[in-house]
Amino acid sequence: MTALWLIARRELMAILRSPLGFVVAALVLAADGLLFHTRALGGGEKYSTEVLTQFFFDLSGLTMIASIPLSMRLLAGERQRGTLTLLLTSPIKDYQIILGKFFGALAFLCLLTLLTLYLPALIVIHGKISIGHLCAGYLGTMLLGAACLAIGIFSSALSKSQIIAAFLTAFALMAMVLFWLVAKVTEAPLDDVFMYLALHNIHFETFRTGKIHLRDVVYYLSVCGFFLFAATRVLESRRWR
Amino acid sequence: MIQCERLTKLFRGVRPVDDVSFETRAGECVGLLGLNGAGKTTLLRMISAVLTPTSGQLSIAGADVTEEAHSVRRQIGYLPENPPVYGEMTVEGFLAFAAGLRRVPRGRVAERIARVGAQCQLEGVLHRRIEHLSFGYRKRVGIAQAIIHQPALVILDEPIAGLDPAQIVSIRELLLSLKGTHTVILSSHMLGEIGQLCDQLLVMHLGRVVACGAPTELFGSPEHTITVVATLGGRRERVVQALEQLDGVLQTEVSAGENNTVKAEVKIAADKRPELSRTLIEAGLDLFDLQQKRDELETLFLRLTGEPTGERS
Amino acid sequence: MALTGQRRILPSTSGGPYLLIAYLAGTATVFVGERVIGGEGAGRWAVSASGGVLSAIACALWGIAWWRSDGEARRTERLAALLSGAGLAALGLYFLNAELVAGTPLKGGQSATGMGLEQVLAALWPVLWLCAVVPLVFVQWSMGSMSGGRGIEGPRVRASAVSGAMTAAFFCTLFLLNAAVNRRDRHVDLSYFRTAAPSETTRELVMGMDADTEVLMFFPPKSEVLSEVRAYFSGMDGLSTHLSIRAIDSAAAPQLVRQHRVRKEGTVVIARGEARQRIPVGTELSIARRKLSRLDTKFQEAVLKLTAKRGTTYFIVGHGERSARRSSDDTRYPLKALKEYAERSNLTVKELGATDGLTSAVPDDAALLVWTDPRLPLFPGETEAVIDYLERGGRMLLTLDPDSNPELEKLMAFLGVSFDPVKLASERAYLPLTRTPADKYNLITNGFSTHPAVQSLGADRKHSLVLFPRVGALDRRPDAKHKVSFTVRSTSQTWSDKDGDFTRDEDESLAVHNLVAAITGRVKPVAATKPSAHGQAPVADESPDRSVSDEMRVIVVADTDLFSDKFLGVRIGMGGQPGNLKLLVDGMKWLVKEGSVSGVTQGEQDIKIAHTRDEDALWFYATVFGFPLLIILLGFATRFGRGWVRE
Repeated sequence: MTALWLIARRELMAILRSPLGFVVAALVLAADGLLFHTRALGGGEKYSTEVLTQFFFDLSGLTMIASIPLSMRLLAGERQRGTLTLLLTSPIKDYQIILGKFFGALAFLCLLTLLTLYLPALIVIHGKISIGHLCAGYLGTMLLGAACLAIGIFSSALSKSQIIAAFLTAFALMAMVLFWLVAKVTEAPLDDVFMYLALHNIHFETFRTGKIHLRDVVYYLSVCGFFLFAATRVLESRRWR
Repeated sequence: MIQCERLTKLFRGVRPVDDVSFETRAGECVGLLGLNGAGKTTLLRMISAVLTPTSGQLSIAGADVTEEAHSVRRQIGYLPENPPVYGEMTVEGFLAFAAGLRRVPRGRVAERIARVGAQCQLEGVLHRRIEHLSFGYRKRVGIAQAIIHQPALVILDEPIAGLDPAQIVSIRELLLSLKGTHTVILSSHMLGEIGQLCDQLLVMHLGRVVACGAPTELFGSPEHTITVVATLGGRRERVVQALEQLDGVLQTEVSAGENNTVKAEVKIAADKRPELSRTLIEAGLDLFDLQQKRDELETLFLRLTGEPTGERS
Repeated sequence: MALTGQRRILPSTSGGPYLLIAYLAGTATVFVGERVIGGEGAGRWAVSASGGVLSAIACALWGIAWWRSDGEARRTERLAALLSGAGLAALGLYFLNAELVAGTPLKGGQSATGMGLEQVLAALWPVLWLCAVVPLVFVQWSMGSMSGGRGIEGPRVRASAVSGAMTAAFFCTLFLLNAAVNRRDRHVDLSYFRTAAPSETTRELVMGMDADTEVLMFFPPKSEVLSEVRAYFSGMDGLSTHLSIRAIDSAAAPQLVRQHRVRKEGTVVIARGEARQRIPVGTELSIARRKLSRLDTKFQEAVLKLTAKRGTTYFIVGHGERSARRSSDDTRYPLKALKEYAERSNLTVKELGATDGLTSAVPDDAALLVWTDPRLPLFPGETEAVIDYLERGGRMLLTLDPDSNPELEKLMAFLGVSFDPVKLASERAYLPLTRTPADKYNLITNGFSTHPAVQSLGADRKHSLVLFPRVGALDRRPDAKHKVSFTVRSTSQTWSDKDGDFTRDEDESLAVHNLVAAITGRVKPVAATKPSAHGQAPVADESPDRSVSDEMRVIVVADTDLFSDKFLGVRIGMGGQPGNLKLLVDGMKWLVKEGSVSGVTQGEQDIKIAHTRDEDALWFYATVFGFPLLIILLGFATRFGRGWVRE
């Protein structure tokens, strides 16, 4: 367990010390601010709930995009630099490596997400929204981000270079988001399955409108669990090569 | 310490390690010699439980690397050819991280860092970021992380590759200090640099061990010829003259050296070296330097493997 | 290359990847036949059968390879053959399941646990299929990446098979977990405008229902709005045997749509006999949200509209009263909300002036008289009519205001109350609305008595505060004939600011002042029974609590602004409901028969946020550029700062 937290802490510090972390953070915050002003607040008068809901929609998209550069380096980058050997020769389990890296990156993503709090603060002051709604939205964003990071780690474990890992993640995320379109053209009972598997559509909708559904929490945790499990399997299979 | 029996690794249709068997005792220093691509790194990766063997038995201190990989990893420290260091960390932070990974109790981490820092001469750079260090320092940080938890077995892949002579000397000293307390297995493609360190040498070629034994057994046999480079003060004719007087000289090549010296390359039987130096001195020449030429490994391999030069790839 | 090892590693014999592709293509063809083509036609069977045969051939070829090879290869081929066989078995289970669902030839018996054979099979075949095919793919993948036909790493093949099986099993576990949770989903709504829950008043209303009422929710069956609406109405379950609630799928029941004249999906219909009320909600959750948040109010209104009217509230007009709308010659805060409130309380709202006959008598159907902030006195005859009405057991809400002070001597003398139009000011208990000294006139108080006219306020003094903007003071006349109770008093730090300079002078002493009076009087014996000649107010006569209406009840408030649209919904402090609204509700409940008065409901509207860049330019630049730039600078500082110091 200590090894897990050690890896997580090192990962978080690595992101905080690398230019990548700051560039990603700055770009995401700038894009968030811009979208907030043009999309959430733009287009005339809007009810404060609508503004907040729109804000969370934009935030979730940016979080998904941010998870790509954050996750690509986790395993592929280590393999490129040869530092993965250090972890592989230490008396730690493969799942601890994966989970440690996951939690490290997740901590940064959560930090980044929470940094955007100054945007909805404006709505809190001027409009009528509840703190609970904010919490639900941020919880959903973090769960979504966690799921995306898990997918990213899986891609990162699969590929040898960071660039390929990034493309794989982007492709996987896009595919999983677009499942809801697949659901529209398939028939029962597959449409239900696809609709349920879609990463963003029905599962994030509830969070951004201020509701926490047990169903959606379980879904995101399951996505995390599955891809982390798969990443562990991939890492394990690397012991043969 | 290491027991290796019929160890084979199959990888994409080739066998980087093919039917390798050897055994080492605790406290020994084992040298793994071979050209690039001989399978040294693959073997070391299997010993350090990074890579799973295809077949054969390999156990470290009684623990099987496939079955008990976890307990094997507790007993080893591994330095790959490229030191596995995180550039953005300070040396101290990195060593503390490595110590934590290797389950060094928290209270003892500082003491261990101080100790390996002294051993690897890292005291001055403990607070520097690793990415700002030279390659030699990084290599030393790599060695430091491999010994921070005082493992029974230290595995070093090419510990002196890419270092300048001064660094090689200091690393050699470091390795000597490890001998006795740790079992060390290291690889190199330069016989001269590690020959005198090792108690046992394994010569690998195309995935197989082609020779095995103490350095003197392998390379010190009397009939074995070596090339010696002598740097002499004096006139060239006198050097040639002196060498002609000596028995057992197979081939000589005399050329002008730096600073008005004469450089003589002499191919000679290994046990004739004392005679060579005596002859040169008795001839009234100033002997500045006498050393063995180091580009002979290939010839040695050819002798040990008995293969003609052209077939190796 | 010579093999020196004793354990020979034999080359693989089968064309693994091609067999895998053929096998998967066969399975996919079965899928196309079953799911895309479907039906009972020959096409489906032809396609499905050919796919099945293709998969079976691949499986058989693995079997042959198993039989013909030896050593490591034999084990690998055996593994592939067994896994592909298990995949075929899963397909077989699928067909068995499909037959069961079709009802032939076996009928799956329901077991005691409710899990029939069908359900078990329906869950079993995908699990078995995944657990067979995923390891198969993993095995072939690992073989493809290791050899190129020149050798098999046996342990690795087996390890990938195990890994594949674990992955498939883990996926199935997660899938079943999700399916289970999905079936029993729980949720909390944390948004500000969440769907209302039935308020206490609504529950009372439902409990008091005496006629069969039907609530019909016309929504598409999978609508999320429906689940919200359903959740609201489920809060009324079992409150009344007269209330039935059901959801209607418009597509499935067109006759109901016609019968209830539902024009759009997403409508709630409340029907009682032939009468019905419709609440349009909508089907898009994002749009319906605000409607949902006011559902309780809407439902109450609808039910009250269906209920026969309790009587009429007459707003006395013609004396410069404050009205529901602001006009150019009357800049006082309008009282639209008060009027709407009376309407919501199941009372017909009418105006009553001299032309309506006030000079002679107050109409018999009057349940309540409301006189708000008059500027002129009552005309001759009117005072007598009002007093006569009150003496017969009438009810009246009189709100005065220090800014307009008509001569009401006769009426006030009858009520036994005097009104001092000097504005009250407080040193401490005031609400700073404008941040000027005039704020001292905005008194806040929780000095409620235990009188029923302030029932809920008095019961929860800690959490209730009422705001009185610019209020005068009331007092009891020494010659009062009726029982006068002061239900709301100011705090003791209040003085009447006679000179209007917002500061307390020496002659202005601190005291508790009376702000609201509740007056009760006996009904004159001669006029004990209300004539019901007109039949306009049948309910009043049938009223079960006759005794209550046999009493004159009047509430006099020394301020009108507190019931105005501007201040009625004001919340002060942490209290849940607006105090001013509670004062009105409590008063109305006391004045008019309880139960017919609309209670405090969640009816607040969201605020629109208008945003212009000019207004918030600083904010805009700070958020879009400033903050990100700060992050970058921070990054530079931490990254290069140390390096510079060291070098």
